[in-house]
Amino acid sequence: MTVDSAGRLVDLGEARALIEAGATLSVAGDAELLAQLPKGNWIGGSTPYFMADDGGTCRNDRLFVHRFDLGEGTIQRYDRDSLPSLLVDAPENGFTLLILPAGSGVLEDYAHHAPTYHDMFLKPVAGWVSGVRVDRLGQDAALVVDGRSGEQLAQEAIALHLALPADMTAMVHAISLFEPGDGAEIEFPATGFSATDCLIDGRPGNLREYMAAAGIDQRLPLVADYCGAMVNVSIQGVDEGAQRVAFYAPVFEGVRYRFAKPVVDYPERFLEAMPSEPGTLLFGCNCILNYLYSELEGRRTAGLTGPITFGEVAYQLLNQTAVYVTLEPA
Amino acid sequence: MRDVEMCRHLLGVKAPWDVSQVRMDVQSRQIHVYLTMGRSWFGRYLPDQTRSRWRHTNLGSCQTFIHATLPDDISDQDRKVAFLGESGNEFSHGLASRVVDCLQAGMSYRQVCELMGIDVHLAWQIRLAISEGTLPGVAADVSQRLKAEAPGVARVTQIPPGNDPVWHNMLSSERPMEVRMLSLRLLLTRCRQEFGQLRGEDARRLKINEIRRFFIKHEKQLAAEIEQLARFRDDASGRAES
Repeated sequence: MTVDSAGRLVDLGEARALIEAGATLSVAGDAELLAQLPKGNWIGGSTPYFMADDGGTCRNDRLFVHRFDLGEGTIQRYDRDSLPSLLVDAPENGFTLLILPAGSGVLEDYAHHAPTYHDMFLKPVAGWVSGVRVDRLGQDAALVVDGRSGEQLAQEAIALHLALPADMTAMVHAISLFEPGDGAEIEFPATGFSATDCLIDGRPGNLREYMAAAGIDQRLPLVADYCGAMVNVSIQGVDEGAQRVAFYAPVFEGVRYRFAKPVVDYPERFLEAMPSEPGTLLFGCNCILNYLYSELEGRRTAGLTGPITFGEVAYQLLNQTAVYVTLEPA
Repeated sequence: MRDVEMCRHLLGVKAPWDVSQVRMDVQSRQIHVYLTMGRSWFGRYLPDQTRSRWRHTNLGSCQTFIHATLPDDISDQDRKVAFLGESGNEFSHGLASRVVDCLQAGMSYRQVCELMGIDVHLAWQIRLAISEGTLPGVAADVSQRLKAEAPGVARVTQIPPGNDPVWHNMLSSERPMEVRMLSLRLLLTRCRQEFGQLRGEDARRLKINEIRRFFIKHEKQLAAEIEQLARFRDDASGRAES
């Protein structure tokens, strides 16, 4: 299957040339490589992992570039105070690409509160969470870049707001291959990035104890069914002493979750899940946990290319999900 | 600051209200004005406020939208200023007043809507307010003339009006809907989670306006979903508490 994608893996020279020619870009790559790019109309985020045309790869000498030929757009930085107005700044008909640094306060705020932001779900927003090589976790900081000044930011988010012609619309899609398993239904008493006590099939219990008793594979996310959209929350770790389970995205109060069924042969299943004619792709990304757990290095995912990311944004923060955006007739 | 200052004067915004932010959407020729009452519109964390969005009279050739949260304790006098509207409505008092003035000057309703760029959805809502007598200063003959005028604009859309029980029933039901768009799946889930916890009819109308606005914006892509709305018309489960 061929996919008409706006993105590709390039070397430093080609990325420089695009920026110097005035292109509007989103750039993903190793932080040191991003620092060598000239100032221009671009936003960036750190990750050395990519889904390229020839498969998953980890490289510090390449950059993944999405080029937007839709006008200049508007680049805007957001701190914790200004982030709730993200979509107020977005055009009435357009698309917002957002990059948030892993481990930052802005990411925590977005994960918690994005569903309540003004105009959320009414204006298309997609994006990703920047990160670092997994063997440098805890040592290097995840960064985003404001290409206008070249500044690298660890505690702010960066967004590119693009207006679309009246006859076009941007559609945000998420592909999760995980389905709720047959285990217990789990509800949490509060929204948060970790949990101890919860309701397990309606009865009070401890999540860690349940996971141990049920033999839950920690690589499998919790899955919630949002009117047919499967929303994953991945397990970050288990603190045995504190009986606490930490997540990569918050679990929400009032939402019912189950642990997912295992997915066998991710690339093959992904091919089945991806539409045969997705249309014009504006943007795509896939999750580092899919890359690691499903061993995507050197394997292709139905032609969907883009950065491998540490959290995905399709309106709200998602985990273990591929996100892509298409341009369609309004 | 200059935009904010200019908007404050053009709209006649006075204390306790203030203009917090103005955004001009060049592509759609819309101006969005965000009003505050003594504190910032956007803070680090906002509890889920019930925010109204009213279409106001045009500024030049641009459609103008006012965004604000009406506090419960606002006085009747402060509530009735031209740039605000009723919390469940989607038009400002100023726009309604201008529509009534034009009708009383002899224009047909269709002409008024064309002149002011009022779309079919809003036209229906204003027309209903006039016919129900909830707008001030409407002469009896105008109301009669409006009833006699062919329904016209209101029949063009397949999307039910805001007071149709389908919206209330859809949001208070757990009945599955076949929804293809990710954004609508997420929005519908969130609205259903919140709807039952909302206190007061105004808050519920705002939530209905939010999801209905999604349907209006994506009407062409949502033919199958709009068709399913009719299934909720006779679903009485959600109407008991209204």
